[in-house]
Amino acid sequence: MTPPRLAEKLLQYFVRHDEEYDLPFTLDSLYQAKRREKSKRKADYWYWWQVVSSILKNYIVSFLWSMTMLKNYLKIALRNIQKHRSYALINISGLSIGLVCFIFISLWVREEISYDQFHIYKNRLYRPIMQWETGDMTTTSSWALGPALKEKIPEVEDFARVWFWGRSLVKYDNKRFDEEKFYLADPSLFTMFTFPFVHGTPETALAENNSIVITRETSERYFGEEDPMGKVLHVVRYEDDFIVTGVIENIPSNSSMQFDMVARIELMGERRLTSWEFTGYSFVMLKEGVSNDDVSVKIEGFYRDNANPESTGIMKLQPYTQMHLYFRGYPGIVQQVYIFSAVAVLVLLIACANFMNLSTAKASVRAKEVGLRKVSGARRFQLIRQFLGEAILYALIAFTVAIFVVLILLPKFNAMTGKDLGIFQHPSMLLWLLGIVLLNGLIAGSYPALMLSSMKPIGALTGGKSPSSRGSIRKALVLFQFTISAGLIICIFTVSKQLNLIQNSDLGLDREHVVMFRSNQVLKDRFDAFSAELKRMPEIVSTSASMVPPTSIGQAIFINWEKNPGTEPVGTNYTTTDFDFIQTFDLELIEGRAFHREFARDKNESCIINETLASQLGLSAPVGEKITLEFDGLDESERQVKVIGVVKDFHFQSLRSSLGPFLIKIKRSWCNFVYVKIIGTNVQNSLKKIERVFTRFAPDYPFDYDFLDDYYNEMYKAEIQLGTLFKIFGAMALFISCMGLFGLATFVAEQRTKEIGIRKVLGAEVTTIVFQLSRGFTKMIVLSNFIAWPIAYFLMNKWLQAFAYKITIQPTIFILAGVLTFFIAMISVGYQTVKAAVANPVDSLIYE
Amino acid sequence: MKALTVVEEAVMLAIYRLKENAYSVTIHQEVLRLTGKDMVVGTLFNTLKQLNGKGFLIKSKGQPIEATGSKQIMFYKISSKGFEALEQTRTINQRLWDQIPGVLHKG
Repeated sequence: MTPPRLAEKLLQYFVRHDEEYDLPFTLDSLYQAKRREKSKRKADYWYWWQVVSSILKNYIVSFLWSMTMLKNYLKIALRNIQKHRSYALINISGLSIGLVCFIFISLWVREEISYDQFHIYKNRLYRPIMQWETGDMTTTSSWALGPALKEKIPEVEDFARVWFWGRSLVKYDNKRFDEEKFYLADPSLFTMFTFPFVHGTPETALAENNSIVITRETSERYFGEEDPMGKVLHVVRYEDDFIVTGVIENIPSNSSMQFDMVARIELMGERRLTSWEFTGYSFVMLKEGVSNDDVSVKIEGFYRDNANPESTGIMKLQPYTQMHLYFRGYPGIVQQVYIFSAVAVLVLLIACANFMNLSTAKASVRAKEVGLRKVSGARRFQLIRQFLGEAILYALIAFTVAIFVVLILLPKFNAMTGKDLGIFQHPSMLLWLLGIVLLNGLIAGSYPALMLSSMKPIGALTGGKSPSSRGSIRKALVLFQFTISAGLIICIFTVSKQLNLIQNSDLGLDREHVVMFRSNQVLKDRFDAFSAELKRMPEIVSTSASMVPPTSIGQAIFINWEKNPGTEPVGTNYTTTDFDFIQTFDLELIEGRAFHREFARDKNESCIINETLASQLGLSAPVGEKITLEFDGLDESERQVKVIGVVKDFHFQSLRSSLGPFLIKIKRSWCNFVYVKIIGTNVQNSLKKIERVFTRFAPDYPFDYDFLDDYYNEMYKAEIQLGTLFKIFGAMALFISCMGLFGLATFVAEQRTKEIGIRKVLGAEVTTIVFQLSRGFTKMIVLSNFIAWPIAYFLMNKWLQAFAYKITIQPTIFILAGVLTFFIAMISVGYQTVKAAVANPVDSLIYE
Repeated sequence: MKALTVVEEAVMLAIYRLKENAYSVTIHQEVLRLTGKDMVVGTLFNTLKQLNGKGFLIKSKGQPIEATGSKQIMFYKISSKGFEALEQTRTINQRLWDQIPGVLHKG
């Protein structure tokens, strides 16, 4: 009659065996008795119950015991912190800083990645875009596109047109607010996208022409606690009353669409909604199960088939969820996300390496303490637990401090990035971080724990010197830290220099004090009257217009000319402008003249080319030459032009590209941007005046203005942010490395106090001693620099490839980085070494 | 008050009653007979350890009656300290309950 096998086995594994308390034997005997009395089943059940209970109780008891021990260890650890205050401070703050940086970057990255992911149908939502031959992309679409797509392509389930600029004054009762985030859209906006409703439903919202949907906080702004449904808001811009038919939850910050109110798109007017101009945004939803590839063939030629047969553009569908990361601006936020993530990981690595370094360094110093403990009977595992516990405790303290710091700095960070982040929104990240921190503490603590606890007490008590092999790991860590720091310094310098070059370089055109805004049909028709009106004002220096801003011209065209040695036409960049273009931007004419209204022919038959184009065409006397524009978008009559002037090369693209050939022609109807050059003083006043004239001519349209130099700088926003980021985190990495070095220097100095004492007695001078102590560190700094230089050079070179106009990476940068790291390192090391060097030899030798 | 806990008291009394034959198995069975509680064996051992630590028991090695070969196990007897503790427990218990006549009222 044997008890259940499995239960027996469990008993063996889990419960400690003692001779005194023979659990298996007792249980077995009792089991036999039970079997005799009751059924096998009942006895087995009893046995199982006993085994399980014993195991559980065993664990509970030992847990309670360890709790008590924990209290003890905690007390000792805290006492330790007080004893070695500076060391603890350095160690903990180093790790904390690293954690703080990591947390902030992680928060930012997480937010960016999660943009627009909250829509239920996110996998079926797309934005139609046009891709042109030149590589340019137009993300706006035509109003007529949506309905046409739904009608003609069966895979398209629905569309939603959205106008983001319905800005207006809105009134209710005695409340009036200037609503900036006022959208106009189709009702399908709410059935395609997921905006949870507080009042109303997605299907009924925007059902009527005078319906309006608002967000919860907007509702509170106007109506307070009252029920907003059915209330009437007066929208000044559309001169009508609207009834609230739906209230949605406040839109989270990680949404590309941010609005407070939505009304129907029909308010834009029938005329505009049927046009094929690229003036609005549309989104489509494909049927379930349909992928982008399925429809791409049908979509490609859609614009050509339905709107402009001459067009060479290809239409594509962009997934809505990728919009934010990949298609906003150039080159999209993705690059930043990658770079920032890399930096975060680097900083964390440095901080952890530092922590381990310092922990192990200090542990060697405590060899004496360990020896003493052993002699007084501490068991090996107790010592291990003590060191491990201490290291983990430090790590935990650093973690807590880091969280506090993050909480304090969070509002500032949110203000800087324009987001609304919080660390407790996604606790999983914190848990991961806690895990990493604990692991770090574990690894850091395990080295001294294992090392020291295995030492013979005698050796420890007499203060034996630690063999150099242990030092090598530590040295490797410090090397690693300084390599990264040196590398970061080099990157900082390079990026800064390049940015300086970009922002201050002379583009060849005057981009200061130029107000620019989008044109529209009305302005185009009445441009002469418009600019005449503006010129009357003393603040206005000149006005002009062009197809795209003169700093980002990507359009190209094929041209042919009489003196063409070959038969093929040649490609060149071009743009169409209005009169006064040359004057407005103060471009230098080398030959010939600019466009003038007095010359009637200028309107259709003149063109201006730049130096590069002139030399490419092989024209020594370009003025007067005839050029044919091989472009189907132009009428026959417009294709023959005569060169009237040659302009000095200027940068019409970002400095990422080199100077190319360029041609300008006048074609008013294609000029989508208007420029108004103003005098530099009293800018606000000038802006108001311009706006007044604008609204008089084109009241329907928003006066969305920009400054050309701001617009230009926008192109480099990514680089600017990168520069700032490198500066901040480079400084932190350097700081952490210094602390690591400081701790190491302390350790080394303490180790060698006796040696120093002896040297002094034998007559060595302080300076000599300092030099000798520093020698080891100098070698390390030099080595780390040598490693960092080629790596940094390689990376920076790659980054600079994106720019056609770049700085040359000069050796001075590397030398400067080396000197800087050396200098900073010396300060860290110097303090400790000098202190050790001037110490009285009597004190250090007295313990011999 | 140097009273024993209820569990300790039960185990002690069981040991007392078993006289020379008090070891793990018999103690467990006796407690079951006396109180109706089927103790978890682990608890029993812990209690024995505790009681021994307080000096209430005397341990001795011996052979169990059911001869399982030459297995040596621990036998327990109450020490003089243990007797004192038992007496104290009884006194305190009696004093407490003497003051409360009859059946308990729940009101």
